[in-house]
Amino acid sequence: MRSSLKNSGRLTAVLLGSALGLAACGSDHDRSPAAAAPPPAAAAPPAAVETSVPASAGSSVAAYLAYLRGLKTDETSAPVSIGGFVAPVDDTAAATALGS
Amino acid sequence: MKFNRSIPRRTLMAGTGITLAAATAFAFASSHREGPFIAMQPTVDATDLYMFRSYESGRQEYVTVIANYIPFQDPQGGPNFYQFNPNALYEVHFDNNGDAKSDVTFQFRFKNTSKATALAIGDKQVKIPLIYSNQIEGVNPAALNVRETYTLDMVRGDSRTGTRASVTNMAGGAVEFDKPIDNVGDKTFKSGTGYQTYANQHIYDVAIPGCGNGRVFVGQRKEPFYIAVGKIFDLFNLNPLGSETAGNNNDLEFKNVSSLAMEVPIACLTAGADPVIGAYTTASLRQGILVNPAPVSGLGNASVNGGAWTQVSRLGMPLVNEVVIGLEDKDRFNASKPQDDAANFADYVTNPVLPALIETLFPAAKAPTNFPRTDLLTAFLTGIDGVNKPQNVMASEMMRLNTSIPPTAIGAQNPLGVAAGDNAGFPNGRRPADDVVDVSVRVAMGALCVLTGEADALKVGCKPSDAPAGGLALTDGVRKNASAFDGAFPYLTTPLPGSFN
Repeated sequence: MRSSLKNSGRLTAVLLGSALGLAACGSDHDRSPAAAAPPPAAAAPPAAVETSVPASAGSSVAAYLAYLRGLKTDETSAPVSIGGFVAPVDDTAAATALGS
Repeated sequence: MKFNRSIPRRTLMAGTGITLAAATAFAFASSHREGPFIAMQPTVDATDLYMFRSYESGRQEYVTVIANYIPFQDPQGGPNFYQFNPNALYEVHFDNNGDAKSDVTFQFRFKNTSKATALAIGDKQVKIPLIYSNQIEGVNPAALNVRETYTLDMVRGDSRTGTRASVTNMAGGAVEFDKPIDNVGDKTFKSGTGYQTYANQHIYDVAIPGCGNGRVFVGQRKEPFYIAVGKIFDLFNLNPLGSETAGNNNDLEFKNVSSLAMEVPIACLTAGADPVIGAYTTASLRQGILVNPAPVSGLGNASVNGGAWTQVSRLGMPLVNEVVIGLEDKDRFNASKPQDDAANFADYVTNPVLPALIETLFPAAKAPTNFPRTDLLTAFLTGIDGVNKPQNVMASEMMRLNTSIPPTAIGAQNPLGVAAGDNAGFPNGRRPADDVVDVSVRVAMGALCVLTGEADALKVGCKPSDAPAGGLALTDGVRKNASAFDGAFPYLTTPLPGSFN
């Protein structure tokens, strides 16, 4: 059970990381004529800037840690608001390895 | 088994022209701010662990354990003074079968509750900026604006997944205990003895599940650890063969500390026929801490804390993470478990840096030449055979106490402990007055190789000729004896008042 939670957390982290990575690809190259060629309907909508902690981050410890790991160092943005967010806790699990 | 001097002081002092690089590895303050990460987290920074058979009259069948946290407290540190972290888990672990894993764990968790005390200012009620509003007397008086309470759980088996039960107050069965506010000053507690009376009201007789009764106290105490820490930081700017008792000032004499003190029946901690127990304390934080940019009014709203408990501080024997573990592995040590010590940190013990540094500072004090340093493996990782070594032991760093050795009466204790023939003292556990600085430096320089003799009576794997400086009475010049402390639980003395001027 715990293992599957960890795995799902890793999957979430990977997906979130991928999404952020894709969002970060919006460079000047995208504004070139070649980049403008695809029809508008096929273009992904710009990623919304999060202004508060998403409710999904509170669904499990794994989701919460994945959210935290997805936060990027940012010198210009305002911090996200906490609102009524409650962080999930687990008194029996081991801490999640972060790797190097 | 006494240490003696064999090298002239003048000769030893000849080597004070040392390199800064050699000296920067020193960080002698038992475990105060010893690691890069924990130095930034004072509320969860374990400073010292004490464990001994109770020497209070009538309590000899108990073990007293004191875990100190929050280092270098200036007594006047208001207005919040020093509170345990309500988002942390503080633990004292016991291994009673030598397998380097926790078999019994006591877990402290804290809660701060605001009474939102307000004063009528004009036509408005305005909240006060202090944690108390008037003089303090008794447990949780109305004048206390922030009530600090704690729970204490006992876990048998794995610290996280084992069987958990609450320690309860013998008077009424409550599971929540009040912690006294720190010693703000004599006026706040109505007299020079007011704080002592107040604090003593927070010593609880408790029922420990499956163990009978014991006692618990959590609160501020006068810092018991003593050391010439300033001179040691200053490139060991002292005479290591000077007076053992009056050579230097105790730089912690005017500091306080926060204690988790328990008195537990011996039988509660031991298992089977082995009287030796190992102990260490840890503090953990939730793995995910998210800072709130707009906390709402109230306490505990400045961050949200989620995830599993994640260990950030670890302490068993004094001085290990200070002068044994290398700087770059100190955070790693604080997050580690004893069962992994041999794989993670063995080189620091078998091939220690400290003796070489001491030789660099004082060339006449030659470092031991026996490698691997099996004598240090004994001192730090297994215990001494016939004294405090478990019947079966996996090498791991923790404080070990042979509970079958009777306690020494307060007036007969020797601060040099086992080395001076007082087997109820350090390194067989640790009492408040034990001079762990002098003993540890001497052991690092090979004292056990000298004490064991040519026949290796202590089975430490070395001989006197391996340790040319092993017989020196090395000292930082600071010494206390047991009379400087109380003779009854919680043994550590009343903290210094904030308004001492």
